[in-house]
Amino acid sequence: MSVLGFEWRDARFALSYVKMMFRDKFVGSSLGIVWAVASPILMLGIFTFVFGFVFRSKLPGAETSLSYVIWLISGYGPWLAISEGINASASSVLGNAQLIKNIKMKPELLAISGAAMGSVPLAVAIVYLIALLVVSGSEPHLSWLLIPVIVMVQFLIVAGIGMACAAFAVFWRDIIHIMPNLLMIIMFSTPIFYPMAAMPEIVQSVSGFNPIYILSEWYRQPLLNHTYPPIWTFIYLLVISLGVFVAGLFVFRRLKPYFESRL
Amino acid sequence: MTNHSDSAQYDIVCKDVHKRFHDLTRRDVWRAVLGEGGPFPGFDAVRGVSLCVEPGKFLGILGRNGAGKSSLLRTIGGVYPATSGIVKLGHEASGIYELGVSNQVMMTGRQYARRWLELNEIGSHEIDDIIEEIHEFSELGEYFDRPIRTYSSGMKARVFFAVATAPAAKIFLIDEVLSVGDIYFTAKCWGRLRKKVSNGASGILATHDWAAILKLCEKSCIMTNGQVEAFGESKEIITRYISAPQLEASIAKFNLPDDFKVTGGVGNPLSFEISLTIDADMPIRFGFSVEQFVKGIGWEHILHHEPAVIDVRSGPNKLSICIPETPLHPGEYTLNLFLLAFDEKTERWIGCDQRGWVCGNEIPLIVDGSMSTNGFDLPVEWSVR
Repeated sequence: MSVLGFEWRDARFALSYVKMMFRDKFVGSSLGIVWAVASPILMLGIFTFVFGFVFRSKLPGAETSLSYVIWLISGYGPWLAISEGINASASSVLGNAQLIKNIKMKPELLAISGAAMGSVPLAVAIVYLIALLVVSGSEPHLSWLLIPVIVMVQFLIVAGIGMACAAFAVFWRDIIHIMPNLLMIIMFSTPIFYPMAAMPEIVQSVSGFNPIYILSEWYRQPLLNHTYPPIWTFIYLLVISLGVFVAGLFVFRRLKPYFESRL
Repeated sequence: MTNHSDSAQYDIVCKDVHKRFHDLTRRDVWRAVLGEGGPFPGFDAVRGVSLCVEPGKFLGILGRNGAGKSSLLRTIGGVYPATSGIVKLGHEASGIYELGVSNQVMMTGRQYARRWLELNEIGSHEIDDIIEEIHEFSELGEYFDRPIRTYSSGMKARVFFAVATAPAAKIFLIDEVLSVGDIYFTAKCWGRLRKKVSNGASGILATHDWAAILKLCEKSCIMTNGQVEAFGESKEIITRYISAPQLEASIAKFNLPDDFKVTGGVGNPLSFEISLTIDADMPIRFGFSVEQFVKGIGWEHILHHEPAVIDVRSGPNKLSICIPETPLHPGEYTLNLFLLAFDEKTERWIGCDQRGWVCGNEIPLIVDGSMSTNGFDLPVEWSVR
């Protein structure tokens, strides 16, 4: 049985590629894989310190600045995973050219595995968030069970964009350098660091359809308010994520036969 | 090679395989995404290659750089999809296309081995045993757990070869690699491959080193410009490849065992006997030379005896050769023998048989003893007028 040209055993391959990429990223460093966890924790800790204790930023109507930090991290954590996943995925084919040239494999699995590189910062952010929530006196809620579903939806989007970027990067290496910058622009044009209300009204109406914004709302509302965003936004996200994934895969497969002479 | 009808009896079957490499411009990339099939600029690395390899056989592919050997090998191994044509493999193949599949020099040999095995889908319960076996075969000792960046190129070759030939694959596709590494380890690798072959494994060895082909392949082919130019018995193919004279063994040939060896002592008589079989009533000439392989230089001509007519009859003959005082330093040499016959129709001497490094079957000549003086007394006659 195969889905979209993938077989069951491809999942095993993808998993071993993820392991390989993590090892490659930290090989030779004495703390090794610890950095994968330590770096996001450090960043989130700085956020907590700066916004919670130095600036004492507060959400409108909130009493403590901790709620602002929680709000910020619940948007920024998933974003960190998105950008890390897309960047890792975009350079996965070029970075593993030796592998593609020497082992019979499906290179699209490399791009998909690259997308999964965002899972560690995401997991760290979610655990960190839950710790903050517990500290701030919030009870666990049933709606939190939605988070894994949203993670999957997000993964499909990241993998789709990543596959297209990875395929284009073979022919146009600038993509690898463009993506981090583009992602930064997207981040600041999306209400992640600041509330939606801070945007001009025209932009607000457009941002309501920004999938990244909707994604962050699907983290924020269950985690912060124990509520759900409108169901249509979930269907909207699902359609977009499947569409992006299939489109990315399509582009990748169209270009795949022409990789060899460029690697 | 000729019979493609029954592919079941072959481990490797290629039918009219083409491999084209494209070099897309930026506009072509968009056209490719939109599904316009081309034509895109590029070049054909493999043009219509058909070949079969039976179980328990290795096929040699000889060719100069850029002849398409590596591309063909990767296409057969499934690393590159064939542009057109059919590739059928009877089993999973293990390919060694270049030295090392990772540019990660920070990894240790052990980590490299584990990665390679994992990527090639070796079950995790077998991996530990296989890695131990690799460790042992590579003879790297404690270096196996040090980063690859600390390895010499010979040590790298040891790991890479040991890893790629460790799994119990049935088909091996080997490109060039065995030319790296010291003689001792190379010999060990050959031993390992031969053992695999005698256990029923098959494969293809692509190289421009014809001597390597002789060690493993009964049959081989020459690849030029992406096409198979010639196919046949390895010896004939190699002779053709290095443009050595075509030999007519049907007229006269040496009857010497493959491991025939001559030994002598410095300054002592050096004598040996050669048996010949003559099948035609033609004048036969015999000649020999002694050469020595000098590292970094190649084959040095040391002694030469011009082919001279020998008085032989049809059928088996014995020829005794004696050099009264061996004028050679102690050491290892190679003895090369030549047999020629005179063709009256064309009035030319034609080569019948040859034992020598050109054909890959040179005879070792070992001279022992010690030099009492700094030189020899050459039997020179001179006079003063």
